[in-house]
Amino acid sequence: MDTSDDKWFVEQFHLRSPIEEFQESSRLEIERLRDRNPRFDDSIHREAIDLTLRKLRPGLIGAKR
Amino acid sequence: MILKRLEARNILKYRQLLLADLPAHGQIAVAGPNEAGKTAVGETICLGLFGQTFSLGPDDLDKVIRWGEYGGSVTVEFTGSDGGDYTIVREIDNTGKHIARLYLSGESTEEGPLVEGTDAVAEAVRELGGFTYKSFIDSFYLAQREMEMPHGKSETIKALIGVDRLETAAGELQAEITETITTIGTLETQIQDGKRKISQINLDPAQLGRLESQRDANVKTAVAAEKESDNLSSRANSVGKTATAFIKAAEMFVRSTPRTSYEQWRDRKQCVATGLVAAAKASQASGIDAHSPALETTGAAVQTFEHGLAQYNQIRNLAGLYRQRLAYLLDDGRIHIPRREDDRQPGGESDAPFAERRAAALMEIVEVTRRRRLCVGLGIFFLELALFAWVGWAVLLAAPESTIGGWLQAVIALGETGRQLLLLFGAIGATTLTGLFTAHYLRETNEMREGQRTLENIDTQSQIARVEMGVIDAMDEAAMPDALEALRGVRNDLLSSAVVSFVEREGTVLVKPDALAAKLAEIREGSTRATRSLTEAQQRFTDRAADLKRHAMELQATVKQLDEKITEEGRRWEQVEALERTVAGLQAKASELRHAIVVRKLACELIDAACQRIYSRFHPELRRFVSKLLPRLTGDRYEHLELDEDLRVRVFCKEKNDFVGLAELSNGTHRQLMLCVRLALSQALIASSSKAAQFLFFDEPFAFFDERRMARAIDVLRKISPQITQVFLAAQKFENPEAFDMVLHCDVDDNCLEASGDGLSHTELPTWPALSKVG
Repeated sequence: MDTSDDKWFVEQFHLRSPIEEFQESSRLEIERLRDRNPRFDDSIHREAIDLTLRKLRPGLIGAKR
Repeated sequence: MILKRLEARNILKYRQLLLADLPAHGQIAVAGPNEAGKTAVGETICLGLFGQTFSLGPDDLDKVIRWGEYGGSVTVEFTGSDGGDYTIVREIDNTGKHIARLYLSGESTEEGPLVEGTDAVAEAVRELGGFTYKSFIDSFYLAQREMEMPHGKSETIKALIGVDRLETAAGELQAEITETITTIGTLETQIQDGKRKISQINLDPAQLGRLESQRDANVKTAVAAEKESDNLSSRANSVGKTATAFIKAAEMFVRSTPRTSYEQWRDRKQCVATGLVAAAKASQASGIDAHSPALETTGAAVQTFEHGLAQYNQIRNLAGLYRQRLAYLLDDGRIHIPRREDDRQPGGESDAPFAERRAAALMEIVEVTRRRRLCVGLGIFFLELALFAWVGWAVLLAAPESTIGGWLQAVIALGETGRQLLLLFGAIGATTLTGLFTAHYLRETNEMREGQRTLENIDTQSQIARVEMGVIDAMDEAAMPDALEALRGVRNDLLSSAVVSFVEREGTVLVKPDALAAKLAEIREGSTRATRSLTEAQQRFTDRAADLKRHAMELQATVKQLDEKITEEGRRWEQVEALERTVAGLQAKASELRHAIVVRKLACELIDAACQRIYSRFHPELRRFVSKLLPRLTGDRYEHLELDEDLRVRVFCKEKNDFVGLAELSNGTHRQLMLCVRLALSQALIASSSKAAQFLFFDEPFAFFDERRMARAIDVLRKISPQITQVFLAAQKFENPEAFDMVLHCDVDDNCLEASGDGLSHTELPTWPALSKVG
């Protein structure tokens, strides 16, 4: 196969895992709220994010290994 | 996920299928005519990974067993997204029974599988590959079928871009919210029930405090009353005892007579004086005037006796001193009490004890007796000598020639005259000495008699002294007049005169019956009146103590009732507190659950925002990816395309200078476009899941391609993505098979297919910077 540097004529697909997308989306949401209110308390957002991440992260094989 | 090895026995067409050392990076050609078993290779891969094939679902597994066989097995070894090598082993019998195990490659099977069971293995494959069967079928696995465009928000797209996981999580959160709302409703009911019970108890918050204050006040009053009652009882008892003691002492005192001894006077006076003081104190404590006439009269009378006894005590002291003197003289005491000048006996009597004086007298008598005896001896001797001399002289004068004369002449060698003179003077001398000794004897005899009288005198004095001592010793116990009479006769002028003075003055009340009776009558009357006052005071104390005792008992009964009320009120408090604690706990729990709902609703909102974000990124990416790929496949005939939210595709046709729909495209162009979309979806799945190297299995993807399009497509697939490194392509014939890294030749008549690659990478996988910079 061709191993030249410019062989990939299609750029990488700019999608990330749902966990990454969720984290990034949540981070932007918190930043947006903080921009509107500098004293915004993000504790509930952090709690919601942690809860969601616990549900999203698999662990069967990781736990087995 | 990269396949490393595939082995199957009695599965589909193949009795034996073994593909070993599959290249991790490279294209693998599966070539052969129709029904040669190309699709069976792909279906076996699908069966090994998911327990089902594209054509046969999990309920039709008995049909994957080769005709005539009882069972078969599939073993597929792969590299997971975590870089580890794993092996799935599935055993299937001809009834469709299915066993699945996942092992860690390279470890002994004795270690046991990592997971076991079809569902567990399916979940492990999803974790290790990043895809489910459905998303695999719609992306990495292209079956020999008509390719279709999925709906923009179909389950396939959701699975490919990971939205399904987010929606699953959101669904779980929503279910938890629903369940929590139900739980909160139950808690609210319980809270209302608890509040209703608290309201029914109707507790007055101040009631318990009031009851306790009343109880404490009553307890305090009762204790004070009881203490005062005990105090009054004690005082009554004390006053009673005092009165009894006083009247007893007074009665004893007034029984006194002139025959009463000093000791009795002293004791009775002491008792009555003590009783008088106690009665005065008791009277004062009882609110009676301590200087009442009765006590004053009694006190004055007692004082008269006290004065008399004090004076008598002085006589006793004098008698005591005199007794010590007598004891010294009698040698009974050890202390020498020099005799006072007033006590000196007439004639200068010796101051020595009687015993010494008697011993001296005896010694004198003995000495005189000795001297008297000596005078007797010497007197007799000289008398005999005088008689001899007078006889010899007479013989010499009268009968010198007698025998005695001759003997005298012979003995006395003197002349006759000399002999006569010698005898004469001798007789005179001896006679004189006899007279002297006789006179001395008489004088010694007188001295001896004088000594004997002195001795008798000493003995008499000693006896008198003993008698006087006896008198003194008995004076306290004897009747006072007798003692005074006896003391008046002792040989001590001071004592005698003191006695006389006492009897005539201070001692009158003690020894004169009239005076004594008058004073005793005063004491009798005064003590009776004082005792009556004390008895009345005692009765007052007793009555008051009884009243207080009764009051204290009434208060204690009230306290007992209050205690019962307090206990009941406390029980009601405990009930209310327990209910309040329960309600507070329920409210806290409800609050906690409400918070959980808020958190979950927020989580759902965040998930929804993330899904929208993914969709908003996916569609442009998909369009961009396809737009880049489509000109390569179509020789730049089609470059631009439009994708709406439902993934409806329109492509720009240069010839028509307009966008056209799929229905207007030729079959070959349509399949080229669908191949582009399929590759885009595969890349999207990789991007949204593992980002690890991935294999593709495309079965007859070039069915309507001419040779030029096919060659172009194969070339495009070689360069499609840094992650899609292992590509299985099935076709009846490849024009340039040597361009592939491994070629599997399938034969219609052969049910065994065994091949082995070098297992190496045929192209280096470059570092892909965009992986860490996307977004």
